[in-house]
Amino acid sequence: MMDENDPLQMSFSDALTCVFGAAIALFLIFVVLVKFAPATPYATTGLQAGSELSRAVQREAGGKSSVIIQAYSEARGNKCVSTTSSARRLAVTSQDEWEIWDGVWQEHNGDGLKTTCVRLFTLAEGLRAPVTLVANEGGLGDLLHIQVQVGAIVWPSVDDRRYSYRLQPKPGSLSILVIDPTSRDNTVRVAEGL
Amino acid sequence: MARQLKHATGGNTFGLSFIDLVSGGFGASFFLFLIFVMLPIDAGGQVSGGSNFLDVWLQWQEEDVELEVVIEYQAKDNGPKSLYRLTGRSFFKNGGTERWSYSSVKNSPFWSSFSAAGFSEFGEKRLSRKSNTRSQNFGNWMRFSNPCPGTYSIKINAHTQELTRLWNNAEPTEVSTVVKVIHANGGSAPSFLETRAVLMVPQIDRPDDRPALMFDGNPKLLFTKDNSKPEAYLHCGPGF
Repeated sequence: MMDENDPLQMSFSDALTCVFGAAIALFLIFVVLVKFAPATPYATTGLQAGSELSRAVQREAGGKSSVIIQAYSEARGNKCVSTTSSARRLAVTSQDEWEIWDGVWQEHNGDGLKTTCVRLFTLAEGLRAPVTLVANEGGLGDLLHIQVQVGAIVWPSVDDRRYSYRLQPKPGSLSILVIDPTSRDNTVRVAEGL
Repeated sequence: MARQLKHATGGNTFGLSFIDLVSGGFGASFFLFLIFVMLPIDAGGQVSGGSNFLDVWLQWQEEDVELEVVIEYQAKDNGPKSLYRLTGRSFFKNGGTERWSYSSVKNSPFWSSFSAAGFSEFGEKRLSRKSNTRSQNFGNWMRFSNPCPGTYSIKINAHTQELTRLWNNAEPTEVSTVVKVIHANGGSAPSFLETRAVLMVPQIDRPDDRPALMFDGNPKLLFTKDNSKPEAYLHCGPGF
């Protein structure tokens, strides 16, 4: 009589209910609630997970991004040609068609006229494949400043990155930096050894 | 034995006991807790995070002219209009860092950071490139990050030196220009605008903030505030 009136006594149906309940709970947690995990925040870090970036690039494949790479180096003898300026030795290797612009910036400083050579690479619409910035036959030992600016909905809001290198002469072409919209780590990678 | 006896005598095995009700109540509370605790995290992850910028490209093919973009900015309707040109007295470029700065008693900058190429104190005041048809193109470029809300007009000015004007007998030159504008507000797809125009450019330079030649880019650009990113407008001053 005591056993039949015990409210804490567990029956077979109680155990069955518990098992079904646990199964439903696990299903909800691992299948349904997983989507509530926070998205990768890329506004503050400047970086973005590769999978999300790939989807975004596909969405904007019609051409909704812009990339501008500016390279500066001081000219020797105030002339901006490939034998007097590292900036004029630069090129991009990419599947996309980039525009290459050259410019000359001159100013008077204490030592006279200083000439800075500018080479600007621009892809106005749609970065879809990785691009590598290379220096032909290395550099000339002068300081090379590089500014990378990217802009579109898929890129971080901190879109201005600056690098400075002293490129020494080397045979062949030297890879300087890679912008990879499909990478899983940084969207801009600097080549090792620089 | 008592349990077996109950089953054997046909006791109701599906009846809910008091402990069943308490257990169900705790389970429901736990699920509601899980759902409502995690939902706000999802809302916080909806940050667009894209770049917010205004790119302006000016391109032409005539070799003996030098053109520049002039931005006219009006923050509010019926408010004052401000002109910004790189060859004016308010922009400075640090030759060591290649960074631009702006200082003016009359106007305040409508951007948080600025980049440009194709402007020089001396020498070539433009960029150049060879196109696929081997013809030479000239141009310059500006980028304003985080432009403030307001109305923008793109204008073109010539800034050839006085000596060139005398050399060419001050004959106006017909120039075909292309103005390309890219605007991204970080949240939606960037907009691409392109305007072509033929200008009669006088060989004259006016080294002040008021351009001698004005070309109204059509249509005007109207930028509105993205209320989800108030931090992008901190540099715009009060009222934004």
